[in-house]
Amino acid sequence: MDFLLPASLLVLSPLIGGLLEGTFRKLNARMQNRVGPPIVQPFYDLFKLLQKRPILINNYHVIMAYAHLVAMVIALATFLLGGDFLLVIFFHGMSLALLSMGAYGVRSSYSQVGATRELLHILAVEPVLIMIAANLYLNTGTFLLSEIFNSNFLFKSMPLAFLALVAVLPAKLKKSPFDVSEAHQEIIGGPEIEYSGPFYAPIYLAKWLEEVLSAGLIAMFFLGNPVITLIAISVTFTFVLAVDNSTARLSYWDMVKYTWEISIPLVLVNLVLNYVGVL
Amino acid sequence: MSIFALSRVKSPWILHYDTGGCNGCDIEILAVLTPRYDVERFGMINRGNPKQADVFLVTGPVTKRCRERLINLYLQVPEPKVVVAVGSCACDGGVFRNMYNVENGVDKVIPVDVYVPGCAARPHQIIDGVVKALEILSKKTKENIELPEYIKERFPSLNDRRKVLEEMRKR
Repeated sequence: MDFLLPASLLVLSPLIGGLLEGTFRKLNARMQNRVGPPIVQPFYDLFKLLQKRPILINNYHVIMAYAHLVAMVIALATFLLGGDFLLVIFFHGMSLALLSMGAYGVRSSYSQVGATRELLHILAVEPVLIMIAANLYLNTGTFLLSEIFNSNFLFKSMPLAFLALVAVLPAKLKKSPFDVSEAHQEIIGGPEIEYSGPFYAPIYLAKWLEEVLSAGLIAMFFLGNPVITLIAISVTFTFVLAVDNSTARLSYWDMVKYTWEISIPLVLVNLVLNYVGVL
Repeated sequence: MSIFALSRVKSPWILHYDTGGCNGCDIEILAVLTPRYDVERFGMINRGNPKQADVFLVTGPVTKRCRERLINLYLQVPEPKVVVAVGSCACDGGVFRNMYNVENGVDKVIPVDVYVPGCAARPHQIIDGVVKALEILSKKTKENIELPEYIKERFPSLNDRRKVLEEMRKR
């Protein structure tokens, strides 16, 4: 049982991620008073991408797309199978870095700008996750997720850390106001601009896995009762989408400033409160 | 219909290019994306990126300056693809027909699959045109590469896109 559930979740993660992405798009459309695409739309997109004629820019560029996917899969597998939380964070960061390295490998200036902004995403998101890991260690005495998963309703002792996580979720999922690296109206997809057809598919798939990983991170705070876990995930994602629909994009500098001035201090306060014994 | 054939029709990503028209049709194309007409229910997204597009919406009479860009964009869209000429100008030159600076329509430069008439074309007609284009798209695969006849005769293998582009520029 201990191994069966995480393993099956891992195998089904592309399916879950695709449906999650489809739900996002449907919900987005409903928020704008539109009908929206069917919920299985991301699968249509993926299968269509696989059937397009491949146009290769250079080998390095394509290898980095697949490396990006593999690193994301390793991060997700480590998370679900109960590995080290720090390893999850580093593989997640590495996956973003690989995407940005691939984007630096082509001459398109949009791709170059997107790659630089992707690195700024790492700078914004990863420190907050590492601080949350430190906070988890203070509460549970371990970085091993298999033991953290045995905890009950961690939200009670680290509410501010959860708030910080919600605050970086737009940057992590590339949603407004912090979709600076993708920025479809501005740099037309940033790092992914030169990928086409079957070579864009791994990046598209990695996006779904990123959403599953984010859902897992939210779930980590609300373990114990499956119903509460699911409610917490859906409420948080709905909130992120509402913010996405109601804000404009900020500049890349605002993103880094915001996370370093608000999210990190939030986790730090939580850390101190935990240490003192208030929470 | 298999899932692969179905997904080709269900997920058309759009690239939209104005070749020197009055912008009337472009405003109508953008209106198609708004809540009132909502083309995303057919899975269509305005990507703005030729390398990830399936449906190429072209407006305008193709001025001499735009010609080269149009060919370049057309070659960057990977197969299978369809081209939809939106508006009277794109179909045959419209009010700009036979002026010294236009090519009299998109089909003088690149192969066109669907013509949407109107000045400006109404959003309903544009949606109808794209849905027609999807029927054509469902019959195409990545193997059928479409170029004007004079290109096909000269470059049967089509491996070198740069040479094709050079040749199309000369005409």
